[in-house]
Amino acid sequence: MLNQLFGFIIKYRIAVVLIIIILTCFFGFQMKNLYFENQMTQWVPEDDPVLKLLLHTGELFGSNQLVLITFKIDNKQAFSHQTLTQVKFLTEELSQNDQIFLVNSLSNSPYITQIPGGIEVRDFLENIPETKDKLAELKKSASSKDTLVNNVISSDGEWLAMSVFIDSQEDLIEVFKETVKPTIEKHLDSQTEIYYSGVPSDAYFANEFVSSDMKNMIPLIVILIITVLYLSFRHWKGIVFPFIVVAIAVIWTFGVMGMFRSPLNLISPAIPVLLMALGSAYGIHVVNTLYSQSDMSTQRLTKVQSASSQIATPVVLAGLTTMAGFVSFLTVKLKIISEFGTFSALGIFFAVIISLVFIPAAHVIFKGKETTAQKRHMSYLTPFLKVLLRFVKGHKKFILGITLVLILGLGYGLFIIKRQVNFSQYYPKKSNPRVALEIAKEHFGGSFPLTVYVKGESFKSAALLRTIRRVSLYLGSIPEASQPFSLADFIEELNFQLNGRYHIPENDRGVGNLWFFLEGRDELNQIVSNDLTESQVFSRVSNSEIEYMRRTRNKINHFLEQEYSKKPYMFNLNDFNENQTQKLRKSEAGYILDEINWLIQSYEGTSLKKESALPKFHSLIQDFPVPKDDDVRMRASSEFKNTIYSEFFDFIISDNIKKTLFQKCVSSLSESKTSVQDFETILKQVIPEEEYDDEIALDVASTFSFRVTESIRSAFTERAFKEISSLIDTDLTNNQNLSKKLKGLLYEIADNMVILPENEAPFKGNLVQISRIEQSGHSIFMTRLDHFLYISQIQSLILALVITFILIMIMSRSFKWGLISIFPIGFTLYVIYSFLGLAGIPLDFATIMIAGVCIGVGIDYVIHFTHGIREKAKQGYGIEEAVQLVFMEKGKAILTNSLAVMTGFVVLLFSSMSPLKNFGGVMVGAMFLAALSSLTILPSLLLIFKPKIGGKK
Amino acid sequence: MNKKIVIICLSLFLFSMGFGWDVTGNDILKKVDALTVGDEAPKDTQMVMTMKIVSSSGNEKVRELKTWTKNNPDQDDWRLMKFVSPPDVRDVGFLTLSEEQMYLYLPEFHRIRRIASHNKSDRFMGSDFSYEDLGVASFQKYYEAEIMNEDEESWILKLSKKPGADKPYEKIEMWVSKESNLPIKMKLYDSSGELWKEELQENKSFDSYWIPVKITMKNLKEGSWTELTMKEIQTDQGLDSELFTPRYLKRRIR
Repeated sequence: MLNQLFGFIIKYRIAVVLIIIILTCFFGFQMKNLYFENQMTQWVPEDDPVLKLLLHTGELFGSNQLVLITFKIDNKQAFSHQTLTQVKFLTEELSQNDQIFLVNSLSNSPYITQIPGGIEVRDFLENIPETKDKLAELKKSASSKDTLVNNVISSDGEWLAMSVFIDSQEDLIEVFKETVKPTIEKHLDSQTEIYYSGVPSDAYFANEFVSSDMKNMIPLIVILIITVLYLSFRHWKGIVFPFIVVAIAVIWTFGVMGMFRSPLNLISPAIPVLLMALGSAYGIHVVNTLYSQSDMSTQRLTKVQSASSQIATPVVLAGLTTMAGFVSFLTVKLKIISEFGTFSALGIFFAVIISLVFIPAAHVIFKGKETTAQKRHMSYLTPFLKVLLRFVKGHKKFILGITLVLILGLGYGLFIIKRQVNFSQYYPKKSNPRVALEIAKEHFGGSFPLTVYVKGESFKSAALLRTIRRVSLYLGSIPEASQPFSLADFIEELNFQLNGRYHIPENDRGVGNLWFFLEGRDELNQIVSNDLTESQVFSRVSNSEIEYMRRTRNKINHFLEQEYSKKPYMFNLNDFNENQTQKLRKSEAGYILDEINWLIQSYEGTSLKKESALPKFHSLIQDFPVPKDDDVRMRASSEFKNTIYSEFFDFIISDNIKKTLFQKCVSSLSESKTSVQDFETILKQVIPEEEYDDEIALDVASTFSFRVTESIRSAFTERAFKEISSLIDTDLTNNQNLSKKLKGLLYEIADNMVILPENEAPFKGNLVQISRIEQSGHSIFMTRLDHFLYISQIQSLILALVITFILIMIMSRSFKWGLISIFPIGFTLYVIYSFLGLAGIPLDFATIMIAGVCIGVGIDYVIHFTHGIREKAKQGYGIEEAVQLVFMEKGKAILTNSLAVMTGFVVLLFSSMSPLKNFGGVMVGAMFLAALSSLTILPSLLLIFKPKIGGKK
Repeated sequence: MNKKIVIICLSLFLFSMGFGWDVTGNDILKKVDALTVGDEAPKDTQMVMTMKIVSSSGNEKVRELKTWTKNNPDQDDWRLMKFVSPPDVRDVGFLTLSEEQMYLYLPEFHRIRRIASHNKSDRFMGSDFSYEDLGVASFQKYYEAEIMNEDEESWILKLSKKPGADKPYEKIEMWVSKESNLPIKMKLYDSSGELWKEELQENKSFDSYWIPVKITMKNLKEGSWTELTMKEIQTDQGLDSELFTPRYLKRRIR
């Protein structure tokens, strides 16, 4: 059958070669469709829930497409008129671009500030001052804003940052490359140090590095392959034929990738290297066999035909076992790995086919002298093999003893293998994305979004806002999350500027009123959906180490589980009597104390002890302020004065009447007559009849009564703050940002809205509608990728070993042979993986493939060896003689092949990205070890256990 | 039909009388200004406005507000706006006396606050109108106009921003009705010359004035749009200046 096939190939050799050339042109043409894609979201199965939420939040809030641009002006004058103007122009230009979802910089950061008698919400750099003094003032103002420091300006004021969120519908890399980067570089001075971090820029840089690696590595591969082939054959056909085989296999493989629009990625450069290392071996085998059979006799064609049929089986078998290694990747859930497996297996398949079809056909077409080539073929290996054989024969037990010692000694390494799926760690140390990561970490709390997604009824609900504020405060307390912010922060800041209290109003109407200022601000797009039913707390994770991200994920998940496994209830204290109100407030105090502690921790303070703080709160609630208390009277009197004497007071009355009204209002405090009706009565008494109007009086009376309520709550806040101040560091109480936030939380204990989880609530309340609360963002996605990597590794390793074991069992028809054969390769893997752990080389998208490739290639050596033994058995040799003969015969082939493969992997050491570099380096060691264990452990096992061969032992 | 033609011819005649025969783009713009903010505009206006905001994903929000405007030919117009719905903003009041003098009343906190001028290109209440779009400023002050084209019903003007003018639109294409002398369509271009928004305006004759009754603003970059519908329009009611004071801003809508 095979003979006929080769007869056909040789007969139609010119047509065969032409067809191969045409196919190569076709696939070469298809390569024009190749493109890079290093977006990690494309590598995970589409139905993965974590990916789904990430894509959903990305589309809603644009948070997955964040590029954090950090820059430092050469002369350290970030706050110069020129630099700030550049930042402003830059922000405006990028903001106007349709491909950009949102830009946040110092220029357009929302700046909410008080102006005489009012409030101003504007962009921070609406007007850029020109004088030095004014610029220094601006810098001071920026540095005092919690929302700006470590967000758009570093705490030392030297670095500025800009967050650019690319529209999720756009091609992130293209927009970064064509729009973001050129715009930034156009506007900023040439001496400016500019760094980019985030998913789009990381993917862009990965493409750049991988593409430049491909360009640099191909000539290297060519040089190395020619060297190896020259050393093997020292004849042009011996060099050219296997080289053509590899080149065609590479073109066909990449052509198929282009045809099916399968993108090139981080690990694609390993494909030509693998094909060179492995594919050339098939070519070498075929050329080798043809040389040994060839002469110039008239029967030349028949001899070529028979030689080809003879070599076909071992080459196909070797190809199959190697493909088995790659096929093991097909089952993994990481697309980047499964695609790599598919195309590598396909490449090997092409290399096998082309070796068996092209070389015999071309060999006949291009006649020439080749008899001398084989003679010198790796003859220098013989003395080494002789020494090794002697050693194995004499020390077989010692070899197995050493093997056992290594197994026991290195095992620890397996348990400390790290994993790294984060791109940022892959770049060269001084490269832009790597430096950017460090700067982002040091000055801006990182660039990897960490978010908590919340879905509820409406985010204009005060109860829901208090709930997400709780999440935000918790995130602020853990060192892993930096600069959390949510919709609650906007509302609280507005409330502070308008009413002097940093808190969420006690009802939805209050939120609705404040919302007036937020409507239309672009920043809202980043934290709340258009229909107001979905929101996120946005934060960044400062460290890109996967271990750190995993810890962070677990911590936050634990928090969310603890907090939201119980339904939160909302109570309106107007619906309860005094006793119930007190009970609810006391429970609320305990609940809010958590938030107070998280807040204090976020300012690096020591949290309050519940047992010392809570009794103080309880006693304050017990003696809740009343209108006649001095502190309440003082506040309320001042409010009455401001209202009555204001130029906008509703009644136009004389100063004398104003005075009387004021005095009567103050007296009402002592009598605790502060209801709306009480003030209406006073107004009716004081306001002259001709000026009096019932409706206006009702408005004014309700304002007076409202001011008294505010004064009571403010008095409680001050009392509680005083108690807390005695329990925390003075430095912290002097921090204006902290004290305003603390007072805001304390004010909420005094107001009429209470939020409590069902297990802490003394009564059943109204349910706060939260339909989903979940962690999302880049960091949790990374941990998901890491999970898939881990599962993929275990899966591919087991599968590869099982497939190989079954293949060998089928070939040898013996379980014992199967075990003996699989042992050397199992040992190789064991040592290599232990080494990864001990040397701190992480498992990543490339190193995960070590097992598959190692089994696929290494098993060939075992097959060669054991196949040889059985052949010898057929010839009547006993096991010891067989081992000795096969060792010398096959040992040369094993060493030659492993040298060729190792040489191939050496090329990967020149890669810029660490995964390929590590993969190349480790594979060199792995191939050496695979060859060595095939020539030491395998014969030792055979010599000791003497398995049955062809009926003999 | 004949009646309509007569009216058009008559108004064309009257209009051309006003300008003389060599009508220019700037003449037309001057007329537009006179009818909207100048001495030919209503002395005061009172109306109920419904604002329908439709996002690119089809989400719809509706707001209703009452507005009172006083035309001050020699200074900025005064405008008082009171929100009627949705309920969480009912009675929120917004008083504009000039670009620098704006007051806001938040009923939930019983407080009047002066607010500083907004970024002119910020969206008004989340709509596709910016504060600039809803402002009542003269076009002529900031733009040079030239006639691009004209048909039976309208002139098409090209408005180019005057050097140094602080306006968000670099260029405006304006269709001015020959019947009402008010814009019926505008194409608004951003500073990079890209088409940003498209505004369609329906005008109706009330008493002796032409008044916009429906304005639709489409944000072509974002795919969202907002429709403003004006009803219960009253003009020249002799609105008291007291109405345009912070004191009155606090009054609830009865």
